[in-house]
Amino acid sequence: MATGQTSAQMAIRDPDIRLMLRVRDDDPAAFSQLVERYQHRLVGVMHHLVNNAEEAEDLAQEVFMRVYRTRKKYTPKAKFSTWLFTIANNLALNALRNRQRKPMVALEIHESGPLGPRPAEQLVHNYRDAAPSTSLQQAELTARIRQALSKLNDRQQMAVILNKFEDMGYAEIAEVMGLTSKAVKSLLSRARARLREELQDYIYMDGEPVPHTADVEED
Amino acid sequence: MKEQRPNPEPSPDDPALTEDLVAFLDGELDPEMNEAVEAKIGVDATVRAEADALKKTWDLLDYLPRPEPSPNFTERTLSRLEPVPQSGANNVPSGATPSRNATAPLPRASTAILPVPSARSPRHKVLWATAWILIFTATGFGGFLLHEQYAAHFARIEKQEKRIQEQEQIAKDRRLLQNLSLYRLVDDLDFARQLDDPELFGDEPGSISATWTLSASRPRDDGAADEADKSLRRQYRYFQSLSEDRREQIRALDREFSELDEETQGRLRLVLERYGYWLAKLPEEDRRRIEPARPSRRLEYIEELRGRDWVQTLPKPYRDNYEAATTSAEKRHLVKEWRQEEKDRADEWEFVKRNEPKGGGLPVFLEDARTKADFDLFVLNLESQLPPGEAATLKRARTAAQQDGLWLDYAIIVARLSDRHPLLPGPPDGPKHFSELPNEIQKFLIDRERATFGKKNLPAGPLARSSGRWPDFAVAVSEYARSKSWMLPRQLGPARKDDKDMPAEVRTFIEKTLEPTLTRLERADRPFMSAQAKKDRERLRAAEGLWPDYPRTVVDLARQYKLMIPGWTLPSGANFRPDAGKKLPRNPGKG
Repeated sequence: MATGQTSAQMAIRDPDIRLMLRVRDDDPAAFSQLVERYQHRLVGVMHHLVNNAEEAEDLAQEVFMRVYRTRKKYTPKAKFSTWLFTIANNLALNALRNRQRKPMVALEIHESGPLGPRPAEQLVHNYRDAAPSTSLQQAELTARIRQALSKLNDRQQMAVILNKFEDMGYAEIAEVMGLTSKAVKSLLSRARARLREELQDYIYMDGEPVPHTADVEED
Repeated sequence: MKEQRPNPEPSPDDPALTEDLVAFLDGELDPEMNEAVEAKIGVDATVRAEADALKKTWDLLDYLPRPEPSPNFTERTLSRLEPVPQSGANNVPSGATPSRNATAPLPRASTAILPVPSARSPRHKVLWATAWILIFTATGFGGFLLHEQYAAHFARIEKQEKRIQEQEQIAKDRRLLQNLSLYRLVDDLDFARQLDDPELFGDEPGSISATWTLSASRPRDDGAADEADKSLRRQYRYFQSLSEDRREQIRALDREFSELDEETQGRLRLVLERYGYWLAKLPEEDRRRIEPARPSRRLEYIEELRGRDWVQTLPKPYRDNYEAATTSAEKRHLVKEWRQEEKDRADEWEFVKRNEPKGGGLPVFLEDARTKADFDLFVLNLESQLPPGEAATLKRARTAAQQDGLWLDYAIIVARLSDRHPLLPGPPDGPKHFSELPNEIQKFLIDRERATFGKKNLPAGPLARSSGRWPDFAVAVSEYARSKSWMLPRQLGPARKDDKDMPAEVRTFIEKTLEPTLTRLERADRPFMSAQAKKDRERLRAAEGLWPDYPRTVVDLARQYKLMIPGWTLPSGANFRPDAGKKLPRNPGKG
């Protein structure tokens, strides 16, 4: 966490803060750049959380909307990404809470609308088609991992995703989630113990043994 | 073969310990605490197993796909900010798009064929004109309709033909098109192979996905089959949009790829899938550096960026050090050093897990008397080929093992030294200085290059650096001669199995183990194994008469086929990576 630094000092260190300051000054190109830079990370995090491509994109868009709407009040107090993920955290946790109140049917990637698969899905299909059987095997494993992840509570999930996929340290996660570092440590520990329990059967998966000369001799 | 692992079942009930283990794995503990946890892991097998299980679980999350936003995400997001008003430039109200017929201009009859009107009364003129207009309008419009009908008909036929042609091409190029999304990421197979490195996109040795293999086809449901067809058509159109040169390059790549064995194909597919996802996730500025660069430069950029990604997973002091490095060469150097550090630690961890003493104080592999004898013989040979500093380290470790029971540390040091100094089967001693070379070789070298060999001291370089060490000096001399295309009057070590300097146990190994293994494999009804064995026998034959090539090839083949040369390779279990040698090729039909 950067404390005791002026906005200018922060802006020098973090190019995204400079970008956001341009957004604050109504530079439309800057906002577009910001969306370009962060869309992959935001959509990725949201997708891991809600496990639905469309909803993930909607949530990510909503984060950008909030950034834009509050641009005039923006004063750099931390790394830009920390600020952005704080907004994302609030929105995502709200969405998950609402979802629990009003359960939704998750659309899998192949369940596209009447207009056929969307471009993002097509991309995924391209990868799938490239290696059908690999993808099938991997799909089984990823389904189990997803299932394990979904057994964590919302905050645990968020902490895990930020730690794993955003490479955030405990201090930064604490800042994003409005917790203490100690609380993050405990949150992550419980989450990882739970994951370990859920994925016990997969962690020592050895696959096929390497053929040895003994096998050859049978020929 | 399954390695013996501590039982992963016991899970410490102490939440504080789990917290510390997780924080330890995340590099989030202060140095003091870090040391304490590390010590606990070192001494307590249950804790070690728990830490290992937690780490492996965490690594499993890497198999979750990294979702990508749809390509028009930015556009859609920006459009939510400032909705673009419908353009009124053509005064077409929204939702009232004019129909094709309404906008199509009416055909005009050519004035050239109109009869010249004669002098008639104005009334007649009007009648004539009206009649002509009616006639021409009727025939003109009829002609137009006919023309439209034919045009539509021909367009339909043309479309059908195009579709048939497309289907034929798709059927012909099916394999290429199925792999196109991966092929388009690389220029050639060499580049894909270079990406297959654990530090880039390859598997860590022994990791789960390395053992996944492909089966040619799996039943799909109809929906999936439809989708696959659509995807093939998309890929076909993309392929057609490429330049002729690029299409040819991809065809060549496809040919080479299809000739690989099934396991290699499966592995390279995974490598390219990972590379593709990574590339898609890269910030625009980084991607712009990579994509247009020529392959060698591109690989350098990729290495640099992967290194940068990897550093982000390290504890903060490392990240700070990395940030503080000013040049990219310095950064690359740091990454290389830390990766080696991490690899060494991982090797040792695995080694300790496999060989943890059961009670007698000896590592598991040394409990067997015959293995211990092989190990001792290996150490004896190793010691004779080590530089003085490392030989002293080995001696100290042996003393500590004998006096204080530190056998595991001793075994680790032997494994590390054997990694650094692969043994060259041969006599225990040989020429270590120029003056110790056989006279005819000294004379040969001086005659060839007096400036180098005619002086008291050898010039700086590999020759001078290796002086005083056997077999390093003799190897450096042989390699120097090779670099100048000189054939030395005689070899400086055993270059055939029946050379007098070839140790008896190595000769026996070649005759009784290596050659029969190659013969068996050559005759096996598995074409891939048989082809590989033939290639390896040819390799051995080509090395005959050359030193150090011949003994080196023997050791390489022993490793490749997981065979032990008593005294010259470490017994199974005493290596850091018992299964890390090149695997035997698989027969795709029988797996």
